[in-house]
Amino acid sequence: MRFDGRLLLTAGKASGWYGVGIAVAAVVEAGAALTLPAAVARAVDGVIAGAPVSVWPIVVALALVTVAEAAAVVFERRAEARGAWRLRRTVLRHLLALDVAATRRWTTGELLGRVLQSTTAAASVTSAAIGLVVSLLTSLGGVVALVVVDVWLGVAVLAAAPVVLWLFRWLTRQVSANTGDYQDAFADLVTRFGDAVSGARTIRANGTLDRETARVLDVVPRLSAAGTRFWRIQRTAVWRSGLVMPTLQVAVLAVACARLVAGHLSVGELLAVQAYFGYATGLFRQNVLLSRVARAHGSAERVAEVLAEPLPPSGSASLPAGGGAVELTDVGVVRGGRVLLDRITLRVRAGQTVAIVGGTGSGKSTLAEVAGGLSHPDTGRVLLDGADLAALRVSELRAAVTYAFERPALLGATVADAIGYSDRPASSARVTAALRAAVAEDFVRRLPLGADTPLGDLRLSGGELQRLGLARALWRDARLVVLDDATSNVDVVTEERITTALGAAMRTRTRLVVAHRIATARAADLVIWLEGGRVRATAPHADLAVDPDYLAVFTAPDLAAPDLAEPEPAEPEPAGFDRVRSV
Amino acid sequence: MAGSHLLRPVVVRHRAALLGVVGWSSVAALPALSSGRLIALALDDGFLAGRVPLGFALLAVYAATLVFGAFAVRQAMRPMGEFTEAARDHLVRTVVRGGLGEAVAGGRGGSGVQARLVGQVETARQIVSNLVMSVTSAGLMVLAAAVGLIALAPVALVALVPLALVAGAALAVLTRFWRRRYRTALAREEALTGEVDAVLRGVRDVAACAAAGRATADLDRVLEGYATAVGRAADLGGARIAVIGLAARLPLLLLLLLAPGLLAGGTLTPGELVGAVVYVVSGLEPAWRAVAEILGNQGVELGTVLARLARHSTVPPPPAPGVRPPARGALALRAATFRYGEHSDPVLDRADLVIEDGEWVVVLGPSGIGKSTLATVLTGLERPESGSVEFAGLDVSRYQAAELRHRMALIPQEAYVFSGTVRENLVPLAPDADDATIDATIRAVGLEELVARHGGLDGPVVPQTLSAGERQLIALGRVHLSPARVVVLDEATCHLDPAAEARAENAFHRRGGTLVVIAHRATSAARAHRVLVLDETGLHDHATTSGRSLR
Repeated sequence: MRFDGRLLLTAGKASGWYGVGIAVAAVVEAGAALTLPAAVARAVDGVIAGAPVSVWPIVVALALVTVAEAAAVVFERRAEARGAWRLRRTVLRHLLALDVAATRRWTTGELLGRVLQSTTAAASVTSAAIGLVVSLLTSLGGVVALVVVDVWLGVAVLAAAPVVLWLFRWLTRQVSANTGDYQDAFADLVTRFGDAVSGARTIRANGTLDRETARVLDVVPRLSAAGTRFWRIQRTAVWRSGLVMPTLQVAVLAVACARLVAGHLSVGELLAVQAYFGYATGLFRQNVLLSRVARAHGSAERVAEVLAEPLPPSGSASLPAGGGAVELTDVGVVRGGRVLLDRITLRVRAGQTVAIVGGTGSGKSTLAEVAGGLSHPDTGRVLLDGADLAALRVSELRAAVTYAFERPALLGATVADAIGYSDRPASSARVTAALRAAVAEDFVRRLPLGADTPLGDLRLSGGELQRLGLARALWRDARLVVLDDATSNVDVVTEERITTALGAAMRTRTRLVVAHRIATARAADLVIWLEGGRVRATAPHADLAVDPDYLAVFTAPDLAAPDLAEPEPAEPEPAGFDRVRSV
Repeated sequence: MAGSHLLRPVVVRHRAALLGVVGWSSVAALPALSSGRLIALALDDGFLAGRVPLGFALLAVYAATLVFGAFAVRQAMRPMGEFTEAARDHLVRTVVRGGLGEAVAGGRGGSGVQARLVGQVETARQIVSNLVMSVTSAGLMVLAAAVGLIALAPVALVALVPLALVAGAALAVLTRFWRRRYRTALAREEALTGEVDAVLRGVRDVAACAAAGRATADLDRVLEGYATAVGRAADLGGARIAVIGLAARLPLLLLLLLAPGLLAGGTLTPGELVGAVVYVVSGLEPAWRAVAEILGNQGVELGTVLARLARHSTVPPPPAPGVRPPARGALALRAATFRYGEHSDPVLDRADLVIEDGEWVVVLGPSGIGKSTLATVLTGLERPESGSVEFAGLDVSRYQAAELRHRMALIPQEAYVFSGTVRENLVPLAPDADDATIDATIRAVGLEELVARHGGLDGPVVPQTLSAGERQLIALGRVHLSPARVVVLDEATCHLDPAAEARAENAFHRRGGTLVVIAHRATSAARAHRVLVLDETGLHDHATTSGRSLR
């Protein structure tokens, strides 16, 4: 791994002054710990000699060690919490400012890991780095102290070093190889369990809970086998280090006693030797601390990767007055090497209703996303009432366009809060009107607490969810309305009611509607027919309806692999019932 | 400790292993017990008395006890592993049973909460192994070092006992407050995870709603809340470390303060003084700190994890006994009323319906009106609050639950496919089906292409790589293969194109038995014997032979 110092510095800086606190505490603790054995040695020698002994040096050293140790714990935890807080804030702000398409480089699970776990691990870099340096210095201090007390002691420790180092490396290799097996088995268990939880409704309907439980638990013997192997390695490890370390310790003690008999060492110094030997062996455990720094570095890299994703173009221009005319010139979108939109040029007049149709993977949703500025094209320009979206102030652009999706993600605390979710939230009158227009009023009234039902308590069918998403889009004074397959799970009868209500509510606005149903195309002023990322035709439905290829779009099978550009949510939807139940 | 009942059966069943750990750990404490005494003897009777060979011989004995101690630790690993592995297996089994049972019963928690549960078992395992191993051995070492010290210098008793009492009392108080703050931090962490998860899932929606400011404000609130709580817990954590450290180091100071008098009075020799310092510095101090810190931190953490696991590990009670359902019969609702919440409008209001055996019925109606609810009530998965649901003339609750599930199959909209082979995904309801039978089903529902692409029946299936339509085909195949007499398709073909949908519905008709189709498209109605409409005014029976408009 290549270490990037700046990265670690940035992560470390996030901890603020607590980082300095850790450093001071660590140095004080190490210094006091190194002087303590010498002070004790002098006191013991003094006591044995019957001379007056001052315990003050010992009192001071003990007090310093204790206070510094406690302070280090407080500073470390606070530095980590503060660092993680700052990093998380930065990453989340960046993610929310990114182009929507750019955030899809990662799954939600990956992003969650980076925002929550990686930031914490990255923020621990301060304490890990200081810990490494101070521990190294303490260990070296131990070696130096041994040499100072008696040079033969230092020689004894350094002579044994290769054996001990080999022992620790062997142990690390064994453990990490076996950990891999164990983690694979555990990952399999988690996958099977996750699969089964996502199929809860089917399992219930089939009465196969016992069978499914048994299928998930099939992994347990494999897990046990890997676990048992781990303990076997552990036994060998304990035994080998149990032979080497005491031998070394007693060897050092024996050398010290020999020097004592020879009169080169006092009884007190014999004690100090024991303590310094303990410090010196810390030299062999540096790899643990080094791996902590390495882990912090790896995590900082994962955080930095998100922060390195460039922000979309934006400017400070304001939107001129207008009715939502949209113009695309030579728009191209390439994602992951795949051409999703290819030189699209089209024009939608203010107030028009335009249907976007085409088979799976033809680029409908990408076009809808680009036309409303949720994501920016790689080439070409998108104009709204004559203004280039890339030059607009973001807040201005967002306020001018409203979206409803096939699978809306509801945010906020309650149903009403989720409908009015915005920087300028909706009044309750507007929420009620929006629910009515989206034909959602009836089922919301049947919820346990009506519109005040917490989102966490909802179990919605696809159609109900879509109608809430629609209501959320409807109350805002946006000049452009984009409905991306927003009623696909709603039955035909309800959809007709929604269409009528929408027509009344949004007579003057421009509407882009991605649709699978022929009725939607028929009702539009204009149809944009996409095929393979290109416009195959732009014309009223009546003109296109003579083409059998066009009509085939509306009966196209949905058996193709899921569209890569519009990934399904990583986690399965909660096993839901048609109606809401309270928790 | 909350949730400790989760581990009780393991402790009872593997108490021999636990005793083994304690036994070998006490043997492993032998070096801690003898170290100071041997060093004192080596100095007093050996090196300082001019008998150097005796001194080295005693050091060799000391080395031997250390090696013997290491051997005892090695021996302790076997029962230790047995207990830890058994604890992990038991937790995995309990959590999988309970968590899956809870999800299947349609209770609390989304898949995210439950999916994370299994991961926490691993955390619990690590803490259990730490607690049992480190605390046992460190605890015994404290005891051994204290006994050794008192035997060497009985006067230490005067210093150690009050110190232990004071430190213990201070720690108990501090730990109580610290634990409270720690739990607050954990609760805030959960809130933080929930909020971040929601926003990350809805990055697109935040932009579309022009709500970046609102989302940022919500996130800032939970981020700050968590960081503050962690800081507050850390302060008390530091105070605990200070008390532990003080209690660990004071004995050394006391020993050195008392030493001049003891040496002068002849109750302590120079060698014994060194031995006593060895007991205090290399036995008592590190072991006591390990016990106090591990018990405090990991004990609380284990309690929290176990409590969380226990919340989702209630194994559902076994079903009540009942009569064996007949092979076939009519399905009926008798004045059935059903609603989800006390205050909500009923989904079914005194509904009456009879579906004869072998009939093919299609249910139409606006979305959200309760068609899926009708399907779950009709198949006996939900009980009506009044009225009854009957199969072959008897209330469904009177039948053996497992047998009833063999008679009736419901396929929900979200098809269930798991990581495994194509065959494993098809046979759960017909474990004994032979290849010929499976092939017939594959041809009937239209799975040929999918099976071929996966390299035959034993090719592995990765659910994420299948389209929604393909997943539905697998779910259809599974039920087609089953012996169920009543099949309910709850929009189970909504991701298929019209031709594939017709093929699937016809396949179920040819298979025989009662077929109820909650329809996604009106075209389904044209094929059926009978059409039902569920709307705001209730359940209506439309005798029909053509898919005429229903409004």
